[in-house]
Amino acid sequence: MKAAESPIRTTVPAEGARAFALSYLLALAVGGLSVIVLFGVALVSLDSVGRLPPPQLANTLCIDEKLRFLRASSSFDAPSYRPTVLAVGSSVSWRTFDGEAVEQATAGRGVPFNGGFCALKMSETAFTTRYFLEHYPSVRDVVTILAPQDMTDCRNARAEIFDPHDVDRYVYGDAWVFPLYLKYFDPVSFVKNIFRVRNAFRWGFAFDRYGGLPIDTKEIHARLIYGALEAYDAECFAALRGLANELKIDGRRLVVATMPLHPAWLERYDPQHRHVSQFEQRIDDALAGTGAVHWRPKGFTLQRDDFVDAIHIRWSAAQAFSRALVEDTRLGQPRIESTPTAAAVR
Amino acid sequence: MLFNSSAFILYFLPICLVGFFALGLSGRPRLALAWLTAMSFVFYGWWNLWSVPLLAGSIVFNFYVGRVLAANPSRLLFIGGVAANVLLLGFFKYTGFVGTTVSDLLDLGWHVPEIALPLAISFFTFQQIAFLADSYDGVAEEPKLLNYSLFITFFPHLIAGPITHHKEMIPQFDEPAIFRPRVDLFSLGLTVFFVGLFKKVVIADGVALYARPVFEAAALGVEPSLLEAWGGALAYAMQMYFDFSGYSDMAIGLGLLFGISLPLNFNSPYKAPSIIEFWQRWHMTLTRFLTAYIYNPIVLALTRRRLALKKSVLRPGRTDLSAFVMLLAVPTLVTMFISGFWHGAGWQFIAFGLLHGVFLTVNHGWRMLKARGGWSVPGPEPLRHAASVLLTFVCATLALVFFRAADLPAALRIVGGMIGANGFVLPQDVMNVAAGRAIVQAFDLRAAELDLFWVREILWLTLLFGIVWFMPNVAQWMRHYQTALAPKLKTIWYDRKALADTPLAVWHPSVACGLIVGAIGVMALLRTFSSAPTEFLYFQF
Repeated sequence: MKAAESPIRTTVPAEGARAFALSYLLALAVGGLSVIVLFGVALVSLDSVGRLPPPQLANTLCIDEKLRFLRASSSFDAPSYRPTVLAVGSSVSWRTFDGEAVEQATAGRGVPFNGGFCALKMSETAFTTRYFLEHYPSVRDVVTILAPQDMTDCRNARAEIFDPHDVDRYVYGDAWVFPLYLKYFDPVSFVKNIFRVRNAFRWGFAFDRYGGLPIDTKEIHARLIYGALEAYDAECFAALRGLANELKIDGRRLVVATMPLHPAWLERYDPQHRHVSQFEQRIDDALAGTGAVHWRPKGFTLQRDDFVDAIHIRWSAAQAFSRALVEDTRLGQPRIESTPTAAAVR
Repeated sequence: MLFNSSAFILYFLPICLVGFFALGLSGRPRLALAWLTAMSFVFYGWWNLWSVPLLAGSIVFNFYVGRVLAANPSRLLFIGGVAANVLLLGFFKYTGFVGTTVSDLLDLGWHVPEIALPLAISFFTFQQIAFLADSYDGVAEEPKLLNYSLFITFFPHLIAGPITHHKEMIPQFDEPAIFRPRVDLFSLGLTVFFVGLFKKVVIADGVALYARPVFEAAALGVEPSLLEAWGGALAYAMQMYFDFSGYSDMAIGLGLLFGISLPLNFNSPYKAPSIIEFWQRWHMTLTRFLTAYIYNPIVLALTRRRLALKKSVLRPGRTDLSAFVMLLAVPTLVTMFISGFWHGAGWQFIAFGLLHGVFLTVNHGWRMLKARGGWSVPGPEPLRHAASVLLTFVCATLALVFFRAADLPAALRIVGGMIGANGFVLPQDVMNVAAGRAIVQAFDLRAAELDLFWVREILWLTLLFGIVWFMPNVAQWMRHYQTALAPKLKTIWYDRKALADTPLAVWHPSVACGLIVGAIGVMALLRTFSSAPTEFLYFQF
């Protein structure tokens, strides 16, 4: 086959091309370095005006904000801090579980820590539970408050929502944050987060001293926000069962509370209560033989106005919910032989 | 291994470059080509080692069949060679689809095992069929197995194109100049690669966040409302373009690093004023292949047959209906059906191809009608051009819905939303501004919290429309330097002389351009190496 002429043509004279291109390559390098320097300057500037988003360790702002809160609060990594009750799960746990209920019921002997995040599926909750148990081996009771939405789509969720090693350095170490911002660089979500950092959280953004995030609002919200439920995912229930078995082996107790849903959501999306019944039944099945407790509010009802959407409740209701949960399941209290079983608390 | 992976950028590419030029500079060009071929096999095998023997076997088979065909053009051998390629592709790509379809149709209850699809099999099969066809026609002859192997496996184009042609690739491997590193080509290559990487990892991956939830929801049975459906479809149209053209840019840039020029694959397709021109600008190397090896042979055979039967054929301005149907509509639909099926084994891909076949046929028919009747659409030219571009873009977007959807019903749910069958709801945020409230009340509209539409999506789409409609593409921006094998590109406003000396308006290896490209490149690299998971958009908290 006949060789063709070199297909590459340039308008730069051959003798000048080399010098021209070398200066261009040098400019490429300088331009690249400038981005890194400017990014550092931007971080410092944003920090000075209080608009610096957290490093995108999970690249979900509410999770990253929680990690930043844990880093900023020195109490959580003090050697004397030995929580005994760990709340885990998605935003339902995070925004419903009131650590004070444990303190009051145990006269301060029980030490609660709210390790809930947001938007977590059960497989991801199992991961965060393991992560916090590594750090807080003093935990005796693990509690999660589940909504049906937590038990869908685990198949497509990556269980490890963050790199434990990097989060260790960030939350529990004194890592210089700039390399973390570079390592977790996502310019699109970073810019978005600059504008969202103050209003990313509906219904307030004030952590309590246990790591919870109360929905402290008196506003009445008409929106359900959550629509029709996707099909339950067997992997979610398998993750729950796996976690329950691990905790049993470790001598810890798992309490699974199920969240009542907004009556309007039930009327619209589950009028026959099929989804809810199936949800409760599949949790029972997943926990069978693990020693874990499945708690459903008994003699305790939520009113329409207690809800701020389909699955989240305002703080006044959350406090009452937590008191009932702690009282029925004796969370944080010394074990006695008559610890309620799954059947007993139903 | 993907171009936008740290394994590729940090390890594979530098090792490959150093080895190639070390061997080339030491006076061993054949060894340098062998190195490049071997590294291309490593690149391919990174994904699945078991596919390597298949690729190697396919290359050896086609090389020797091609040699025999070049020496002795046997029709039987040619058909056998093409059939072997088609069967291989069919076995891996279509067994599951065909088996499941037959089982469903006849209610047989078959369990059709999944067959792992070897990476790039569609691409290298097409290339090799072209080689066999040209060998049979006596216009291709390649005596060196090494050259042929590198033509097929050259890693920049191996897994996602451009689909190269032996005539444009193999001669380059015998060009002594490619074995010496050239700093000017390195500058060009890095520039094109960085721009492509930025398009892929920053723009395409960024806008994908708005497309994915809509298509996933549709797959679960959700029927998106008008805004949600259009939001998802437009976001996907942008994602697809920036992703695919970005990947093609990266391939072209990588080729330049080795002194090898690849064909242009995208030329601002969303600026096309007709669907015919769209296909001349979108995945151009596929269009070239389909035209040369499927469409033209069909048209030629049918024309000969009609001439033999003394029936009418295509004539400018005088084509009758039967000639139009038999010599244009049928070949177009058949070609686009094959194109759709080539893209993927599923009814939605067939719908994608057929839809484009219909669009193309209508477009050709309209042109012929206009030519026959001497009509022209009234109105000022810029307005007519803008309307044509918009209509073409809408057609392309509609077809892409089928391309992206999980299946046909999911695609139809989104299309239903796009035509308003699932209602029109404005985002709740419009009620936060007085004008929005006024519009809602005046037109008795509904505003609510939309699960699958985000107001900031509008910002994204506006920015990207600005880029695809009003900015030059990479080849146009770098038009004083040939970065790809392509004819001279048409340019628009940015080709004016007044802009020629404006810094950054036209690429030159200047310090200003270097700073900008370096900044873009490092942003793209940081994103490539970033550990940040994909942002989770679809949650309410």
